[in-house]
Amino acid sequence: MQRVWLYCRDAQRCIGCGAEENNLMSYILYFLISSTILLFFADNLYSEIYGILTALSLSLIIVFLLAKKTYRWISYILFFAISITSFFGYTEALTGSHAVSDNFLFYGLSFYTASIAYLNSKRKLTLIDSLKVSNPLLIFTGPIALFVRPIAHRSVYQRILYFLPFSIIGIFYFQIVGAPLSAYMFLIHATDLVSALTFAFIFEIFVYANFCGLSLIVYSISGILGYKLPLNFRQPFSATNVVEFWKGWHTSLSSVLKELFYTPARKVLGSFGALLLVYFSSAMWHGITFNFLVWGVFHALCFYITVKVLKSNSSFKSLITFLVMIFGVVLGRLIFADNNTSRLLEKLTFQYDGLNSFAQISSTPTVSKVALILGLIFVMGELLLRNNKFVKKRNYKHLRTPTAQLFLLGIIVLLAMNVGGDYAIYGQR
Amino acid sequence: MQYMVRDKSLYSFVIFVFAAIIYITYLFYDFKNQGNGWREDFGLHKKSEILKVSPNALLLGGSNVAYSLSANQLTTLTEYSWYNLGLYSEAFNDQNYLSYVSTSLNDEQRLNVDLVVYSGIAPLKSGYLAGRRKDRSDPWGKRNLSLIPNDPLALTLKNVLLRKDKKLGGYPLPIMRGDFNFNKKRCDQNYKAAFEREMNWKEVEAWVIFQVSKISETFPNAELVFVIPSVFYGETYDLNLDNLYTTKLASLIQYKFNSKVKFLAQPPYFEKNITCDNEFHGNEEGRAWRTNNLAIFLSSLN
Repeated sequence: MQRVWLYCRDAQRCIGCGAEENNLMSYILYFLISSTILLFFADNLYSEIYGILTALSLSLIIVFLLAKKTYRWISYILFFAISITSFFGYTEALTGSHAVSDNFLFYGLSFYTASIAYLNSKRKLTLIDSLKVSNPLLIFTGPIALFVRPIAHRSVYQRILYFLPFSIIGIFYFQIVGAPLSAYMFLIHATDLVSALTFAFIFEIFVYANFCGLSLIVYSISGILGYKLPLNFRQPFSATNVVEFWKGWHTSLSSVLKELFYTPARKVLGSFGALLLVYFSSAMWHGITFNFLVWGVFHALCFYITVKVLKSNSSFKSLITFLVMIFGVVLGRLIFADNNTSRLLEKLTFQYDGLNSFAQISSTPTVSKVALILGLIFVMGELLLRNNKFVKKRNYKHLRTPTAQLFLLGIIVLLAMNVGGDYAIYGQR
Repeated sequence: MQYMVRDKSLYSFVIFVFAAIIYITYLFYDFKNQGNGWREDFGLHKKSEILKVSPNALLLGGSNVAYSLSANQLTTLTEYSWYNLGLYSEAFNDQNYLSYVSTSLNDEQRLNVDLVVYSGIAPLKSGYLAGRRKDRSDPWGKRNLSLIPNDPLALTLKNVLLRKDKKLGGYPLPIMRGDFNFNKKRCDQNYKAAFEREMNWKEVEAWVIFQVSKISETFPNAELVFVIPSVFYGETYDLNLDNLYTTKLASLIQYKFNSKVKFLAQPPYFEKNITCDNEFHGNEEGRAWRTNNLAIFLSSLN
């Protein structure tokens, strides 16, 4: 079968990569084109897109003031800058709900400061790197710009052929599955066991569809423009345990957390201590609220238990770690999503009060019910077909086949409609 | 490690181009055929009739007002001459609605308005305010050409195949004083009730202040009554949360506007069969009941 070499992961091995890596002008062009693309789509993503640019401009000034003082503590101040603004009420906690900051100057701040913190820690804070992480197209899907590499040596035609299918998957996830699921947000108020778990489950799909969808769109556009990003999501639901799950969920932030917290802390605190610190830091980065504190400890425990069980000789270790993952992901989302402490505590009493939530689900618009069914099918597909030769690569290859693309495009063309809920849930502060 | 792409990607590209052509064609079709004419007919009919009535009291708000409050009944029960300016979806955003209201009356008529009742559902639906803030539709729901159609192609195809007219199912033209014409509307109560509240308090606070300020500016001589409408919640009703929420809203209005603005939270509809096609819409009986409740409150102000 004829194959076309497209790019290689290690830029050092690509002919011509080295020269382009440091081409400031190409990054400026990349920045400008990305800004233009984002502004074109801005109406559906941000009502105040200029806020991001303003925030980035202000942050850039701070960066250059600090550029030569690469002390490690500056990284931590930068990383937790968003926690401070959250604590003082200038930004909202990042629960995944539509919690847009009142002050538009803070839009994009969380990922930007996390990126700069990483660069500072790595002592790689250069003009080009600062420009990379300021790219407004990339900033609302995580500190992904840290890992951008040029692949412009491949023809535009080749890049379109390879990267375009990712856009189709992204649009499908974001607009067809994610956006209509926002109709279920009212379930957050219900505190009985079935409703709380139902909400957590639906919200998990919503967050995944929204965030992964946008990440794939950005991945695709960036690739077509000649800059390759790592996949921010790698089919997390194809995982068999929590450790694998986190290797596929928001990978760019995981890299930052590893560099800033896990690596330096492991020598001092040991594995579990470092793990606890990573989750605690991640929790506080999302917002200084009770639910994130509980979430951080809970997931650190799930992670630790999984590692211990995997290292054991138990013949049931696959089953145990799988169940821990299901339990951790759903209950973790229940805790993560609700920063109303009294309501969360009431949910955590797990009181059974009938099946009201199912009646409420049936009252939502048809488009939301279809989105829920599609979301379930695709998440279950990742999970149940994880050993399939296309699925196990964990790079959405199963959705990039011509048949799958035909199906996705057909659904997009037939079901796309304006339902609201088309905002970047992680890019609002 | 190296990555490769199979030449089968070309098939995907061809499929994409084909789908893009269909999608873009449909976007233009949807744009040209968007909006249900009945919304515009309904709004413009009221606009033309109110000039003849010259009321000194107004009912403002969205469809909860159009369906569930009666200007004729209030005119009988109170000493004012009322007009119902309730519009479908409250004209999709606040600017649209306030512009519609202010241009419906001439300057002299506006100055002669003594009493305004505003009833909005925004605090009763989570995310509704954010949606309204972002909505760029015109007062009749027509949007600029965008990347996402108003109606999905699947629905349009279904309507074409079943030969359904988009105008059917809309609002009939109102009767006297802008009241809803239930003789031409079938109330089937085919909906599921769900209790919810907008929990983003900053959003609610900003909205209340904006609405009250703008309505007061438009009708400088009028007394304003801010109303939380009746809704049917069935078994989902959370009395404690409702009480807490209502108290908080009342305190906000009292704190911001003292006694200049009155506040009324109307009780939930007591049974489903006095409602129409959703939980916010009373039927003829529900309208009479809710209007009577409002009239009792208004009489207590005197």
